[in-house]
Amino acid sequence: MRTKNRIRVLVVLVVAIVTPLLSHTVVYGQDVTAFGCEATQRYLRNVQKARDVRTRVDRLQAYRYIHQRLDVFIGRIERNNQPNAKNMRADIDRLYDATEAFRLDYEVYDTARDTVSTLEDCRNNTEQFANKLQEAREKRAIVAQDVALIRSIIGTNIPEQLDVIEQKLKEQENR
Amino acid sequence: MEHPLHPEGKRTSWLADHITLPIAVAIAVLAALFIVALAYWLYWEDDNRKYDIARAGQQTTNRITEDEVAAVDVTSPVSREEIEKKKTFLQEEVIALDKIDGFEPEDLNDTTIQFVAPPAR
Repeated sequence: MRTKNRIRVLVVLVVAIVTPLLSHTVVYGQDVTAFGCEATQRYLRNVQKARDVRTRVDRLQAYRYIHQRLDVFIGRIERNNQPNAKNMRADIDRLYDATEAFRLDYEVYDTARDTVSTLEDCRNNTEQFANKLQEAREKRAIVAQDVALIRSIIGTNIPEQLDVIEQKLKEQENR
Repeated sequence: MEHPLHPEGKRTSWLADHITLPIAVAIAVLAALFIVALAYWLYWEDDNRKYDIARAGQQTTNRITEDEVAAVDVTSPVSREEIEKKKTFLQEEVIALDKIDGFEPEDLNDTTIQFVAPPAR
């Protein structure tokens, strides 16, 4: 009798630990056997939206942070009439514009995705559902293009301008 | 000789003899602490932690806020060493950003969003 009670307690404890882990898996893999558009709508509403919101917050904060740091840096170069300030400023302004485009294009995509996930009676509106889904995919592709553009500015264009400044400063030191 | 806890003389498992309720509870608490510690360590080591929003009750400001409130030189000429540092900073940021989702189109393909087209009628 006592042994059975101990086993019961152990089972309860194991279930208490494992259940949250399992529930997480179930939420993310929910309704894999469900058929049709309702499962897609639930996925977009419960999983994809949360991921997108987090990605949007992280990226926007990062872009603004990087722009702020570079803006201060180019301010010093401009104030002291150091070389290549104009080209560097142009790239930093492009970064600002691209960040704003990312913010606005995300809003458009967010609306398009929500339209898909809230479309009523999607089973009987299959054509409309397919069109809205395609539209959301196209809007998402635009956001992906914004991300790629910002990456090229931060990862290629601005470092190239920094190389030019460094080279010119080196030449000045050697005179 | 008859066991005082098992007068009926039945054999019990080693587990049942050694894992008492307090020990089981302690194991559960330690396991929970381990999971929390592991999760927090993963969060703390993440390159993108500095972008995380500040939370209520947080004692220390996050790294990005520390950077913002730190005294920043806005007047002196830029040196070559500072340009090198800025390039390193940008490289690190790009690496950190590459670890975040990039709104890839495949995130909305039929398989990912669990969309199964209805059969033709």
